[in-house]
Amino acid sequence: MKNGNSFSDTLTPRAAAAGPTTAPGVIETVTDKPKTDLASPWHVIVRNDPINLMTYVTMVFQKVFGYSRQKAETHMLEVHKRGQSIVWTGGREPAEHYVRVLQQYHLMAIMEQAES
Amino acid sequence: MPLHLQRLADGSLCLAGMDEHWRHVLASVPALLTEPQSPAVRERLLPEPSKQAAINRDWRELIAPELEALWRANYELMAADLGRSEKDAGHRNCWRVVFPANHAAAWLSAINQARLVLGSRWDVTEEDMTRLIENLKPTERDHDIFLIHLLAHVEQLFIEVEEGSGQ
Repeated sequence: MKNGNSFSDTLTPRAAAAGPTTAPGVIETVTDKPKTDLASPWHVIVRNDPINLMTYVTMVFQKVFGYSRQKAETHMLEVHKRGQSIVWTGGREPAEHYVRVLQQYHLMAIMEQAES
Repeated sequence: MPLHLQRLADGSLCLAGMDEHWRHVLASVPALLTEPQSPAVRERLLPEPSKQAAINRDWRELIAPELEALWRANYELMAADLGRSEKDAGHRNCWRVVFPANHAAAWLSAINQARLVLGSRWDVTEEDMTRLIENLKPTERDHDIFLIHLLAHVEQLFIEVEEGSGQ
């Protein structure tokens, strides 16, 4: 999957407007700063469906995320009672990976960017 | 003898207690998944993962075919295992099949997918799923809801084995 965070996406308006500040004839050394993902994190959300067994959903959460049985059951019950649960939050690429794996297990999984 | 799944001494799994009825139910899984699926079923199995069109487009082009190939491999493996079923010498009118333990995930995937296909086909609701089996009517829809329940029983056997709590 493509990563939407290109260099231009992370260049802030302030940095772009600053322009060159060195005197003519002086060679400026540009040091790469560590790349930071400034975008909002992504939620992986599992929605309820009437067919998947509760035991199955719990098992999948344990397998996919390594959650304890208690934590997996808490998310499963939230899916069942509230219609959905945010089961993981983080970067876009891992979120895509988790949605893919959850859909492989036939769970109704989607990803949504958190409000910044 | 009831349908049961047990781990043998060599680590393989044995699904035994299959009478003609259970053999028919289990054979229906790969048969059902081989059929072309309606848009409603496809939408349930491969929901759009995002509100962003670009992500959904990539998903349809790259991920969906990969998932479909995986699922196909799973139900084909289950069908091949079922094809090796044999009469259970110790139990009249019952069949058994022995397969490697690492096939359990494929069986579980295929059985669960078949339940979802039936559920999507008939737009089955929570209310449908909580109706008492005695209250089901002799209709094709209720027949398939009954099948969803029967397959849930088999699915639970595989979940218990996957969790290590099976026999």
